[in-house]
Amino acid sequence: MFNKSFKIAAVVSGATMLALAQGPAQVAQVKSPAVTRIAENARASARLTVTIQPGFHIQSDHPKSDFLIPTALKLTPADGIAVERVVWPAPQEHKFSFSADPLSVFEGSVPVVVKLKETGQHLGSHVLKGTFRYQACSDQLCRPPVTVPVSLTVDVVAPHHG
Amino acid sequence: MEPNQNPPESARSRALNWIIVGVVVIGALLYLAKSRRDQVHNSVANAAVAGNAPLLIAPSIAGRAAPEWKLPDVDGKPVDFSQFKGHPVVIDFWASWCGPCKDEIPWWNQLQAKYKDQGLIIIGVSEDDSVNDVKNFLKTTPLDYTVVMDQQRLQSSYGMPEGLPTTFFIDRNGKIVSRVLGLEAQPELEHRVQQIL
Repeated sequence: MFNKSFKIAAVVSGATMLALAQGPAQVAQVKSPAVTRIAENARASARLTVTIQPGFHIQSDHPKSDFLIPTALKLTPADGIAVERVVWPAPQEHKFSFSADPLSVFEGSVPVVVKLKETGQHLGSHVLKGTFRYQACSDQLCRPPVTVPVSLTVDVVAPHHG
Repeated sequence: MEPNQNPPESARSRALNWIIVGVVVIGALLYLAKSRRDQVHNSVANAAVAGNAPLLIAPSIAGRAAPEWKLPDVDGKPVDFSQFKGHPVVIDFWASWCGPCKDEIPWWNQLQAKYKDQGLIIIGVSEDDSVNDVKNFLKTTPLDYTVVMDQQRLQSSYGMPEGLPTTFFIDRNGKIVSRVLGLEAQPELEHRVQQIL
């Protein structure tokens, strides 16, 4: 009934559509650098970028109310690479129609710095895995909190590597 | 009768063909559903930029019977939707972390008091993960109507909220009259309540 070429094309297109159908549209996305280099027994900074859809904001890492869900980036240490801290920029103070006081939020493009420390002799490429959690709102509505996976590729090089 | 020119397909080959067709059809349907959902998300984003929350009355929702449910209130006591049979009901999905939702709370309190004698029932369905968050919230912001904890149990019947607040207006016959996504002005909310009385 169906020749071989048709079957292959049908399976590929069906699988593609299934893959594309996965996952909701994200209001905020985090982009990691392609590679972050760190020397043995040294420190380095990985610079990530969080991009938020226009019209939306996400809570800052330290929102003003305990009821608000803070934005958080967490990475699990691995292979002698420790995460010393995550540095967020100063948030924006924004007054919304639904709040009596200004809220502490992030909007637009947000640079995030992850401070790393290499504590052992683990030359080579390593991947740190973690999560990015945020909760976004517009002036009119709020999206449910979201937790998405994040990964950071780190190359450990010998000291004084060129 | 002349013999067939081509050898007959085996049952296994026919089954494989139909499996392939099924994969393609299911994939296409899921892709279309996601595309529609993304359109809604994008329209929500665009509306947010324009400063207006879109009114979503999906033809597939208006006129349908509101799905039954049974959820715990903040004290753990079960609340059964069927106990409100014959009443006009507002189901408002909200959360303590939702600023626009909190804007509407005083209005819902007022409407519940104003139309109580006409049988109006307002139910706040919390999307908070923890009942303790809701209890703490209620200490500073009382909700003068029934509050229940969803914990994602209504998402299969009422649909995954694309955003909060999401509000369903249900008439005395248990039919959904309208659904609103996002913050709406008090006069409009009252008008929708009056439509179901």
